[in-house]
Amino acid sequence: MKPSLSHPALLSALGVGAVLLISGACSSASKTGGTSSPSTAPAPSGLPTLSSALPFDVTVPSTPPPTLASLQHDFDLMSWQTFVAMNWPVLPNGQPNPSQQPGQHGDNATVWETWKDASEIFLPNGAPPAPWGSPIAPPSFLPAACRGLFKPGMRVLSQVGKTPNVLTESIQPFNTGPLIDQNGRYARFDILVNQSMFETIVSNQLYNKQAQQGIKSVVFDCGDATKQQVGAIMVKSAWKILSPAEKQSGRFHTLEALIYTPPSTTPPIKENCERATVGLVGFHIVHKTLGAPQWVWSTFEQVDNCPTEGVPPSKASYNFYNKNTPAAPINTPPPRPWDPNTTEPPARRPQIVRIAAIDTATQQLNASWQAALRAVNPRSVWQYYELVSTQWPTAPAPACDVATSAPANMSGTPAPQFLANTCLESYIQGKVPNTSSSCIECHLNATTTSAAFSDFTYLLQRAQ
Amino acid sequence: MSTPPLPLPVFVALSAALTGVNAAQLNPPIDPIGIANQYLATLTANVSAATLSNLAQTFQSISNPNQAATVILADPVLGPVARSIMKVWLLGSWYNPATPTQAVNVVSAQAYKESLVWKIMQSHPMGYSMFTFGYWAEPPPPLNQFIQPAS
Amino acid sequence: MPTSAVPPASPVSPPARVYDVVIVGAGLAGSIIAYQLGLAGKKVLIVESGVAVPTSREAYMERFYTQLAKTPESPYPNNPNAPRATVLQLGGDGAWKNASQTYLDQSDSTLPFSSTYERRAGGTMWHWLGSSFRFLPNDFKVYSTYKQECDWPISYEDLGLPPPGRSSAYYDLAEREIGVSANTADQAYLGIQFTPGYEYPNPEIPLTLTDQFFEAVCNGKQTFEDLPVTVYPTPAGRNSRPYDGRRVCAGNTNCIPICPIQAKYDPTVTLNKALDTGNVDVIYQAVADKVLLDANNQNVVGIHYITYTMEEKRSASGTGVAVGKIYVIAAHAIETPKLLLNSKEQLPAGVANVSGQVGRNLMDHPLYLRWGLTPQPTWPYRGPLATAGIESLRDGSFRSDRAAFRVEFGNEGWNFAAFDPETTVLDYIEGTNNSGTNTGGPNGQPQRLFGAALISRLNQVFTCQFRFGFLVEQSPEDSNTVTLSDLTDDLGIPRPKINYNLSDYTKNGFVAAQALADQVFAAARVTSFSKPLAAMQQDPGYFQYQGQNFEYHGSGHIVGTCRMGFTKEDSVVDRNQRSWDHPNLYITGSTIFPTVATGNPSLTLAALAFWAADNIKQQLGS
Repeated sequence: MKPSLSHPALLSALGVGAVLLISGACSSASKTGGTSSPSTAPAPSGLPTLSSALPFDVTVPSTPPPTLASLQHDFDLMSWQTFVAMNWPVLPNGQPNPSQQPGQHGDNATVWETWKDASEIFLPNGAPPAPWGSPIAPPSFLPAACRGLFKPGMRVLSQVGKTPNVLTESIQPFNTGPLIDQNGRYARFDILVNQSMFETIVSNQLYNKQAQQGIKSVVFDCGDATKQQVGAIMVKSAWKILSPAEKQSGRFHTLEALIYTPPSTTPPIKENCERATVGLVGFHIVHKTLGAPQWVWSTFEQVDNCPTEGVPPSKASYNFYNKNTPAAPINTPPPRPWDPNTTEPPARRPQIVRIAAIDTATQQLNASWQAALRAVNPRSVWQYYELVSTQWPTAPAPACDVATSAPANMSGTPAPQFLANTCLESYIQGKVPNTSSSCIECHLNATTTSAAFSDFTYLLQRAQ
Repeated sequence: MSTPPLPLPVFVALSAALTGVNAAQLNPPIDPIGIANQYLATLTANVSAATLSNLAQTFQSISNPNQAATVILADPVLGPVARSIMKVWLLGSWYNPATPTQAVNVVSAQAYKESLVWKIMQSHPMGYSMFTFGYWAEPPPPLNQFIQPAS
Repeated sequence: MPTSAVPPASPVSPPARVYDVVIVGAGLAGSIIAYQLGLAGKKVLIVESGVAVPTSREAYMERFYTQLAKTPESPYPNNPNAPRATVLQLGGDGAWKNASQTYLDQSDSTLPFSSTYERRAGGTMWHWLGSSFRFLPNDFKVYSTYKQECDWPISYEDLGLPPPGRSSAYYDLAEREIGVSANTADQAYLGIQFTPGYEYPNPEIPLTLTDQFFEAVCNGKQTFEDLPVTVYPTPAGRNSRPYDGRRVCAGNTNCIPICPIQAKYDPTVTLNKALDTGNVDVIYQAVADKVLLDANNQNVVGIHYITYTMEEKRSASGTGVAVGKIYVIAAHAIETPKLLLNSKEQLPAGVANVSGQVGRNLMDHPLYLRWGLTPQPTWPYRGPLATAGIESLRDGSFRSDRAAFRVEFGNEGWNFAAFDPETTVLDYIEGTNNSGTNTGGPNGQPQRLFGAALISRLNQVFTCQFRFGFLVEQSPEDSNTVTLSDLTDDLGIPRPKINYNLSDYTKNGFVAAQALADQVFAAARVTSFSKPLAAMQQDPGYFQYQGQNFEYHGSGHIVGTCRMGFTKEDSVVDRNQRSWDHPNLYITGSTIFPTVATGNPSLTLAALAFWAADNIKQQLGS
């Protein structure tokens, strides 16, 4: 098999995809998981069309011949379309609401928040998860005291940063540190998957450590424009506990959450449960498609997170940066031990800075999508989110099973080479191969509990 | 704007003839890394424009790339430069033509990571593996999945 | 190097508290002891000469990628304030003796001491290979059994079976902390036994094709001096499953000098756990230079240190004294004796040195390399640096006459042996023959290749490369010493002076290694390659013995200089790792090994550290 040096899979994604989106207006029924037609809103002229239809794959125009920059644009566009569709107002049955647009009432509960999160899938003793669509039951590890605080529909956020000592399940490398905001509170994280990914996990018993022993190959489904099918999608969201002023600002998508901190001896942490209003500050969307079997890695941030290195800070304040201490060492976590129950004093709040500026082209795309969201409602929370970039394989595997179809180039030569979200990869923003944050390079090391390649997800290590 | 003494496409074609690696692999049409540009910049910084121009002209004047490479490699001035080009592609390190066995530096971390000798041996640079656990217990994919031959 | 007095710019206030325990050195031993004591609620201060653990290893990897010579030191900056030996300082043609170019003063040494170490949080094990061998029962009693070397005052059972009242052996605890990958069924040879029901934390790492090739040649088919020649998988501190929050090995083939993804354990893991207890403080960039005693020269009352501000520039900034109830020196086997000997204001022979043994019996595993080409491709340069070796010859009656050895199969082709791939690539581009393989031209002349022919030949050569490394058990010799040089480092501290040689007993081990290599190579029908004699003779590790030419390298195993023993007259510490001379001073790490034994030292070092922690806890009382 010859090494994949052109983009054959992308060119084949032209077909239906191009027609679907270039024509703009009404779309035919798509397999986004339901029977209702996806909504589109006629856009003010020149602005992108907002649609609740998840893209099946990237769309690459048939002319002119693609360049690195044009493909980056195509993937960035796919990222925004995905962001909007996923954040569409949701009906009780999990489908996007055909008669409402994102932000129409300022904020809204979203489609992706009805997806299954890691704690609902990887249960004690490797028990099977409840079927898709069941109401969110409290995660089984919630002690009785916490259950009293729980209300149906609440999210339970128990993960704190990339710190295995605090989390029993975190598998991030190098234990780099927690994310602490400028109010001294620890950020919380949540990982969710869509139905396609969930069903693959369930049907192969990948939620069970013992069953994983017999599994040598994991291949999630690919989005396919020809079959009108969305592929596996995984999401990692980062949340900040909001102060009253931040709640009032209307600049965050918020939800009511139960912040649960499991107990630990080393470091010494007391078990704790609190209700809080949290705001979305970071958002990874990862979608596996036929055009990108190494997945498409989109990452978004709330616009007030932090300034960019080398650019004078222009905002009044930031979520993770203190303008009054510009000389503080940047991107350095406080010394150990870390206790997420603590409200950290100013000296222990890390000074986060974006190292790689967002590309001009991406910034322009962001401006047009934010304008489209603002046109729905000037107080839409969704206008306060920006795409950092999208990482995609420039030499994608020729088939959905990357390990067997592209063993000599499993990474698919990603572009851009490095990508980091300042909330989620705060401390490894750089340009060093195999070490600085690069979605595909790092996730290529992901395995099951039995060390089988797990198709770019670290989730399967959580099986008990 | 003046033409560079050794334009990128000529550099790449010459490199393909010298290394045996296809030009499309050395300088892919969709290229997030741009290693060919890095190497050309290194070459330009270390070799006179006159020599580079001579190199370009000599290569382009002979229609068969293998013959062109043979002639260049035999030339007392162009030969050492060509060998430095081969070494930078294979090893990611720059060797001055005048001191052919003593590397000056590693061009960059990327250059080390992109150096081709590891693909030639069906492996990966030491310190940069994009393979998965246990791969070493089985033979690797065949050479033609690592190296696309020049012709 | 210039000599200078210490210029304190402004004195640093000493820590305001008296700790339960002060530890010198945040390496493997220091981190384990700090972690265990911190868990028990004891207050610990570590005095570390080097810099703290960086937030990420990006800077180390960037440095590594851009170094031409990818030595064990290549990722780690040189630090004039806490200098150390480097492989590049082992210059050929006698340059290794030039003390103006080296940190170790080897100007009067017979042979070069060739192993190096790091001075930074996490210690030398940033660049260990990962091999995690238990010592054999007979390793602890070579003298009783074979009338050679000396006995340890402890036995295999002390480390390999649970102590009374405990359920885990110290080796078990060490293997769990490191995350050793192995199967007990494959490791119970030559008398090694395990706690009943024990299994290693992670399953065995798969063997490479090189391993499989030689396993098929040897196992059940070869004997040497009436002993079976058997290939065993190597137990390793390298994840074969996600473990302890770290990724699984991806075969970066870079364990030495650094694992990019921390699939290989390093002591920063344990140091971070120690910090997480909330009971451990560390003062970094603090070079301990004196151990202070009370007026009776009995108890240690403080560790004096010099601080500095910048890793890569001479930047002394002040001094301080760390005070505790109990003190532990865990600064590795060259800096530990240096510190003790330098503490000579009260006791001219230095602290803990009534026996005169501090600095004596410096040992390594001198490493004998053999390399060649297999008849068919085995595709080296893949997988961890070593995954198997011949372990069946670690013990036997031959130990009455010659040093034992274990044989490590290298998976990195000729990278270590011949500085490949550079050497061979240059050969075929330039038409030289430094690798020995370029003899395909007319009349055996070297070829100059390009294009498809170059690719084909390089592929042919590289995919068949292999190398063996024989780790020879050097005998302890009290003339192999670390003493204080008259030369000082940039902080004004005396540099270590080395006297080093190989005994005939050790060299007899090389003779046997050579014979075994020849035998196995012949059986495997591989082609042996070696350095031309003229080149070998210029190398630091060259020696002649019994009319044959040998060359050795360092294995990175520095042991023996503050040995554990039976009496206070002939050893520095007792079987509890406590100084005979000072009741509140413990010395631990590979410096206390009475012999270098037949396995890589780290696992035994770790097991001893767990034991030392128990002893210290007991002495502190609850």
